Amino acid sequence: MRALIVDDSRFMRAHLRQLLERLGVQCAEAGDGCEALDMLRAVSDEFDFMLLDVNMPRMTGLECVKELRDARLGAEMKVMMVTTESDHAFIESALEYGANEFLMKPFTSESLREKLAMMGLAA
Amino acid sequence: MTGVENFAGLHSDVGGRGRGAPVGATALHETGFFRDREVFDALRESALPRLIEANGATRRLHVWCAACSTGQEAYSVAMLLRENLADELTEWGIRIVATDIADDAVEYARRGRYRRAEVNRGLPARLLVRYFVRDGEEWEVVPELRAMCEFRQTDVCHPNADTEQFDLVLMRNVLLFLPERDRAAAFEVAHRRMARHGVLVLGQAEQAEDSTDLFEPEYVSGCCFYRKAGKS
Repeated sequence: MRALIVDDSRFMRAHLRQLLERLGVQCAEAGDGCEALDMLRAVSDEFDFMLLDVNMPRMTGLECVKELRDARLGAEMKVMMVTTESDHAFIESALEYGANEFLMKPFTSESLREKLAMMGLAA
Repeated sequence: MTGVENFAGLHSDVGGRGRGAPVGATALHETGFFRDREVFDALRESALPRLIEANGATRRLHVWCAACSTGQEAYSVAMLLRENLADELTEWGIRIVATDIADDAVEYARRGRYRRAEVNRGLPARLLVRYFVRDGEEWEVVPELRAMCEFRQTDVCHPNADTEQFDLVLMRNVLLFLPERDRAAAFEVAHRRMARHGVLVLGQAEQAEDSTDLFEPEYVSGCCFYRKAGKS
């Protein structure tokens, strides 16, 4: 299984990579939504799921998920927002734009694993 | 001190912890929404439809969550029913009684307010936005879900004189902590309170066969549930 980790924090990317690699997931990283979309345009079917931060420079996670769903990039790819955002309306918007799940920071490795299982990803 | 009393002691006192989760509920009696998802899948796919068919004449479905801890299991059952069986259960008498030996856990469950770390556990985002409302740093269960659940303080081995019969009994992850004598007592209570055609659900690491002959296992969608022995 392969994941694309999108977060402007190098620390958070490393943290997520470590958690996922323990579950046997191969990881690639992008520092913001634009970089993630560029990667997906190059290798659209490369990833099984994306962990997507929200507040990032150049392009937010919300804009990113909307654009990749509109452009049908990685059509089979599951997207989970991983963010400090926890506003009720924001979570509804993320789901409407095409996110499959939502994990609020801070989180535990167990809650990450459970959320992956909810998306049908047997990590 | 019996095992149950010992268990209660471990559960007890959270004084001074403010609005945090009870000690026993997190340290000993770990819980979460839709804990062991395959159990809820099996309830949805098989056990609940069969109970609904069996109860068609009375149009009632009573659920007992024994050892409910801080309430996530009871609210999960309520969401499961509303999400999957709302059409079939219109005008039915649905009742979820949830009990725990720890007063503070019961009070926590009754409040129906959960912190970020708790709603992050096991709860799909689409259900979070549908059945919870954010209030400050907490998420509160919506009134229609709370109305389905009644929380009470009760010892699973020595419940009060209630005679209410339940169609579905969830007694998960509590027997592990009880000595043999109390396990047998808990099974007797469950047997007495369970309807003739009822279903008993234990924790995945628990089984009835070693402690009682009142129940017989039934394998449903990959999970082991129990029915009263001798019933077809």
